[in-house]
Amino acid sequence: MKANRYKHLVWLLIFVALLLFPLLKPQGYYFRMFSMMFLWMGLSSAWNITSGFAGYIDFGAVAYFGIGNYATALLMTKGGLPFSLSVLISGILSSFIAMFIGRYTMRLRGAYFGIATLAFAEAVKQIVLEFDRTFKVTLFEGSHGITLPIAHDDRFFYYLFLGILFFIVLTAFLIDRNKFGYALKAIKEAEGSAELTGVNTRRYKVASYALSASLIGILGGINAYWLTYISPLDVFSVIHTIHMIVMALFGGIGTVFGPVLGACVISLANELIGAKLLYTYLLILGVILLVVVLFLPRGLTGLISLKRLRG
Amino acid sequence: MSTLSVRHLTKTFGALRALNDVSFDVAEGGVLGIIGPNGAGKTTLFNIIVGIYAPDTGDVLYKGRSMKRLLPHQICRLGITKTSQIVQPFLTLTVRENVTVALMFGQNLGKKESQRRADEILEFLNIADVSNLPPSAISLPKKRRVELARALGTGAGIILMDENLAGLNPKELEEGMEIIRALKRRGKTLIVVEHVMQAIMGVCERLIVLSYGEKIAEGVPSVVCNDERVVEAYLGARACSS
Repeated sequence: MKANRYKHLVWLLIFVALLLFPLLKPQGYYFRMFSMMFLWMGLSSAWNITSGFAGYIDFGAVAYFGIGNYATALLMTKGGLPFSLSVLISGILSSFIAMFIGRYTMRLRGAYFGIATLAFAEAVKQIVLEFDRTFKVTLFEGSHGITLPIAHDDRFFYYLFLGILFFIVLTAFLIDRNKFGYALKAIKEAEGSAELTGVNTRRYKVASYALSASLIGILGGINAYWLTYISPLDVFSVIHTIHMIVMALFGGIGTVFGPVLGACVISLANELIGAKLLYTYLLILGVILLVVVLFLPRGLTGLISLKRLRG
Repeated sequence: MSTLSVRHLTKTFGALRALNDVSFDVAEGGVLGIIGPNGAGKTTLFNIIVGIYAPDTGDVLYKGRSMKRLLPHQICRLGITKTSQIVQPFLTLTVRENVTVALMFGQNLGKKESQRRADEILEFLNIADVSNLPPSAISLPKKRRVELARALGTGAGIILMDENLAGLNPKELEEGMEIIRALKRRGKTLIVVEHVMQAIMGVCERLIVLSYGEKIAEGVPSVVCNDERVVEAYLGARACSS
């Protein structure tokens, strides 16, 4: 228990340090690098709620990232809504779509759930790509993408991403120790037993999926405004899902801080080596995934607490 | 009045008729034993009662009301659950957390209250010593006990026990039988599937015998196990003398 409290204190100190970091008046590059890292930590943590806690490995999480991007972009450019409202609606829209999709896909398990969600994400991408041409309208702009207004500076997005990240990690932290979290862990371990024990497994599964989706959708919305230009092939790219998975696995899937840690290391590595080794980067990502699965099944956080007895 | 009524249950899996027109009543607050050779349909019967399978025809009534189309978690909250023959605990949770989950969801209690009552249940079942261990670290007899603890945690009044006493040594078996008697004194209704005849004869007031999906006998244990059909189908000669 004491070791736990100490660990939480370290995380809190890091958070405060990040809050104060802009006071050093760093270059814009650092703001952008940190914003990118916060985005990935947030995505990986949000993904982890469904895939880590409930054990339903989602291979189509990028769908909600893309939906968030496009919802915010369309609401702002075509709907004339302010950014804050657009992002909020993106999150709500994502969770509603997830409730519908989850109702059906979450009857599947394991690889079948993975395949279904992967197919869903690809389908959404194709819809956004081909909708305009098929129906002779101008809505999603197909592969041209959408350009958003440029408004805020790097500092704005730094704090926005940091705030959302804090909110997501806090959500995961609270879920981990309350009733909702126990339901998800019971579902992950033995869904049949959970159902026999009185857990409404379908409701909790879909709720976790919708929660993950809404958080990912909100991050997508912020991403659109941050980058000011989005296109389907970019924001719906399957590589984003792969990143969420690898980061969570690397840090420790199913734990509160594992995905944060994994995303931190891998997005930093991406920044440092991704630019230099553009073509071998994916290969390196694959090797990392292999090594983690083979030698560190519980990730970095599992390594730290390897011998710790529960209690 | 019977608390649970099984009415004309039939269930087929492809060409296999697992249950064929099985009916019986369960009185409140007693121990009913179900015996029969492997493949007689005992586990299928349990799975239909708790809502894992839907019967092809027939119905299960709880206090006179049909439980058709109810899901296992709904049936659990009505007050019926089972312990599985193949134990499936929540492996990454501790034994105490396993039972806490049952209290939180079966009885809709808060976390603190659930933890407190989980400790009571583990104490009652004499496995408080392993409460902080994960189920993977304890022996199979204790895992079976955890399975029972989880069923008790849900607060269900009717507990179906699917071979919960299998593979125990004589001392553990005696302790298991004592627990069943204690549960009966607490007013629980138990339906026990078991191959250990010593346990069946020791705790059951009534006995049902299934063979190839059909009920071939029902009644007081001492009478049932002298029934010619039962001896032929399952027991072999002189099983009741013990």
